[in-house]
Order: sequence, then C-alpha cells, then structure tokens
Amino acid sequence: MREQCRPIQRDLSDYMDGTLSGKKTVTVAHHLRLCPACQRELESLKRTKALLHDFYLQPDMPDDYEEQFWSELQEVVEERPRSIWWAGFLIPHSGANVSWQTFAWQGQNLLESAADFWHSTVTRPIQWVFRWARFSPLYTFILFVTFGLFAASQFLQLQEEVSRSGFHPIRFNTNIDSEELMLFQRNRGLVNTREKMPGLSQPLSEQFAYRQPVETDIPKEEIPAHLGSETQLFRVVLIESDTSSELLVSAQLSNPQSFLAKEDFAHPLGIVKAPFPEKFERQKRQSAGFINMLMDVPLRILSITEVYDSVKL
Amino acid sequence: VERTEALLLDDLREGDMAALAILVEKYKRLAYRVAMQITKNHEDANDVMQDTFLKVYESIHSFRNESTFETWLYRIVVNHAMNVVKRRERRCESPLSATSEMDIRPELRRKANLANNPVRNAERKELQEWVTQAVNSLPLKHRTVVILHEFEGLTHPEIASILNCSEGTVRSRLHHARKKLRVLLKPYLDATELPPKT
Repeated sequence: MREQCRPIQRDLSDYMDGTLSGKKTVTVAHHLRLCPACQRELESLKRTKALLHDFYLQPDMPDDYEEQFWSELQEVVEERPRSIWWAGFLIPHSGANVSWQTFAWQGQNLLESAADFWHSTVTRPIQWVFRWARFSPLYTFILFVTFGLFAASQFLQLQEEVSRSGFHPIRFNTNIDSEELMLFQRNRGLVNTREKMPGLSQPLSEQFAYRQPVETDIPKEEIPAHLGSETQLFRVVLIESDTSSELLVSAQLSNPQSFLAKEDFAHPLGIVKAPFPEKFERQKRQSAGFINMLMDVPLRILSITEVYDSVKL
Repeated sequence: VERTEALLLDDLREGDMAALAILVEKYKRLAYRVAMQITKNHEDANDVMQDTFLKVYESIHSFRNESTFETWLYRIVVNHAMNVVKRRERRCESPLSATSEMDIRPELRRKANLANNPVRNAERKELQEWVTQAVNSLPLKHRTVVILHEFEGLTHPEIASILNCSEGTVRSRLHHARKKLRVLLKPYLDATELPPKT
C-alpha cells in the first residue's frame, strides 16, 4: 500500500456509509479516480457489506418462547416491588420490612407526582418560551422591545411624578407627609408675602405666617449626660438663646432627585414657643410627639430658625 | 383504541402491567434479536430479556424522553448483554449453543478451502452459516457495533449514545470490524457468482 493510500483507506469505511465530511469525501473521491488499489479496497468493502446484508442470519424468537417469556416476566415483576430509588438512603439494609417498603413506596409516589406537577407547571412553560426564543429571533426581539417599552414608560411616569411633586416617591422613604413637604417648600419661596403656612403636627394646631427665616447661630451640640441613677448616654441638644421669639425647628433634607428639583428643602418639625427651657433634653425612651421627631433627626441636618412676627390667622 | 407510546409510558410510570404487556409485545423481538446476537446463546438471551424489561418497568421514571424509547431500550439490552458476555469471559465459560471464537477460525479455514471450488456449488445455507459465524467470531465490541449498524440500521450517533462512547470510537470499531470480516469472507468476496439470496 502506498503511503498516500493509507489515510484514504482509513476513511473508506465512512466513505461507503456516507458519513464522511464533505471535504474528506471530495478528497477520497478524487483519490479513488486515480488509484486502482483503493478502488479495489472499496469494492471489497462493498462486497463484504453486501454479503453481510444478504446472508447474515438474524436470530428470531422461537414461537413457544414468546408465551413463556411473558408469563415468566409477569411473575418476576409481580413478586418484586418497584425499586425505591431513594429508600437506600434511609434503609441501608436490603432486608427492610414490608411497612418500611410501603411507606417508602408511597413517599416515592408523592415525590414523583410533585416532580411531575413542577415539570408541567414551571419547567415546561419555561422550556416552551425558550424553545420559541431559540427558534425565532423575531420572537426574542419582540420580547425585548416589549420589555424595553414597558420599562421606559414606567421610568417616564416616575420622572413626571418626581417633577410634579418635587421628590422621588420611591426613594424618599422618610416618614414625612408629602403634602406637608410640598406646601412647606412652596411657602419657603414666599416667606415675605405672609403666605399662610398650614398647620403642622402636634403640638401646633394653629397656622402661622412667617417672614424670611433667619439662620441663627444657636449652638447645637450633642453631649453624653447622666440622668438619675442610671448611667446612660443621652443625646442632648443645648439651645442657648435669649431671643423671645419662637424658633422653628426643621430638618434640612436633600432632594434625592436633585437634577429635577434643584433646591433642597426643609421639613418643619415644630415650633418651640418662647420662653423655652434653657436646656432641651432629649431622651429617646421618654420622648414622644415633637420630642420624638427631634430625636429622629440627625444633628447635622437639624436646623433651628427664629420665627418672629408670627400672626395667628 | 390504540394507545400512543407516550401514553403507554405514562401508564407504565404508574405501574400499569397492561402497558408493560403492550411494550413487551412491541419490542420483544428486537430485544431478543440483539441479545441473542451479542450473547450467542438462548439461555443468556433469555436472562438479558428478563433483566431488560424488568429494568424498563422499574426505571421508567428515569426515562425523560431525551432519546426515543427504542434507543433507550437498545441501550439497556446491549449493556445487559455485554455484561453477560464479559462475565462469562471472566469465568472462561464458552457459550452454550454457539461456536466460540476459538472454534470458528479452523471451521472457517476448512470452509474457505471448500470455497476455493466454484462457489456456485456451495449451498446458500452454508454461506449463511459462514457469514453468521464470521460475525460471531468478531471481538465483543466490534461485533456489537456491526450488529447495531449493519443489521439494526442504527446511525453512528445512536450507537455512540447506546455504548456511551464517541462517534469516532464507533467509526473506528466499525472500520476494524469490516477489515476483519473482509479477511474472513475473502473466499466469497473473490467468487464471481454467489448463491441466490433468501
């Protein structure tokens, strides 16, 4: 056999079956046209195959065996319970008693029906969707476009809400009434026009008008303190002022959507009427109402503003 | 009303013996044929058949329609039959009612000498026995591939799936098996006229 015939003859069997790749088929066919030795080799392979097909005797089942086989199989099947594939974990010994077998068998049935239910209600619909997606790029595209349009509409709706209300309805998660905030924000720009300000939560039930709030240099600091016999840390806000006017205590909050509503706003927490105690102690455990609100506001955003010329409307 | 195979398999999963009976009726000849060709004797083929359908009954829940039921059945039959043959070979037992590989070769040589005479004088039956013995004389792995491809008509990927090997391995085994068969059948390959087919 020539050296160049060796790889060709290795492929002749596949060439005969038609299972060779296109490129190799062309190579072998080209070689065969030129090589009588390989032609003979192929011819003998074909004749071998033909002999096998024409003269090989395939065994057939004896007639009397058919009945015998089924009756034997039936006996074997009925004697043996169906295998309990997971029972081996629980019952290591094969000599498990009947009640265990029954219990395990019922358990297996239950598991199988649960698996079937899962398969039919969850797996199969998912497979169906993905089968469609795999076979139809258009379907996938439509899915993506639909999802994209839905997401865009939700986003635009959100932005409209933000621009209308001035704050983000989802991200703004403080316990502040949004109407109160909006009104206060609006009023803040109109402080010199004696616009009325809506009533705030307790202890204020009245409405006030106020002038331009003036940031005072009222010192705020947080110090640990001891009260009674208990040694605890208390957060104390010291307000030392000789002003006789009222003070508006508010929290300066940053608008989470600052690119839409540029300005920050303050949330009124309450108005401390003068004369107020020189030392305004805050103790979380005892705090309630207004005091509680003060407690919940971080010191860095706590703002105390003098309110004068308050007019009861 | 004839039940479709999918429904039959569903019924079998619930332990329905009638479904098993229908499947046995449908596939018993296929199973016996393959088992018999691999094991080369009826008793072993019977054991393989029993084990195969018992396995089908017990393990039908593990059949997830990833292949056809027929391919799955082929896999069980072939693997059981190959295990029987390997076990037998380990015990150095020869098949009960078939000529072993050791016996076949001198027999073939004798027949080959006879066949040097004009082939037209040979009887068709003799040629059938010769071809059958030639196939039976192949090593187990080669014989299995030849049986599945040439006589059962399975494709290379199907055989690879049944034997749990690569398609390349299937092709290689088939190639070597054909080369051996060509040598064994050489006297008839050279004959100008063969007895008529069945």
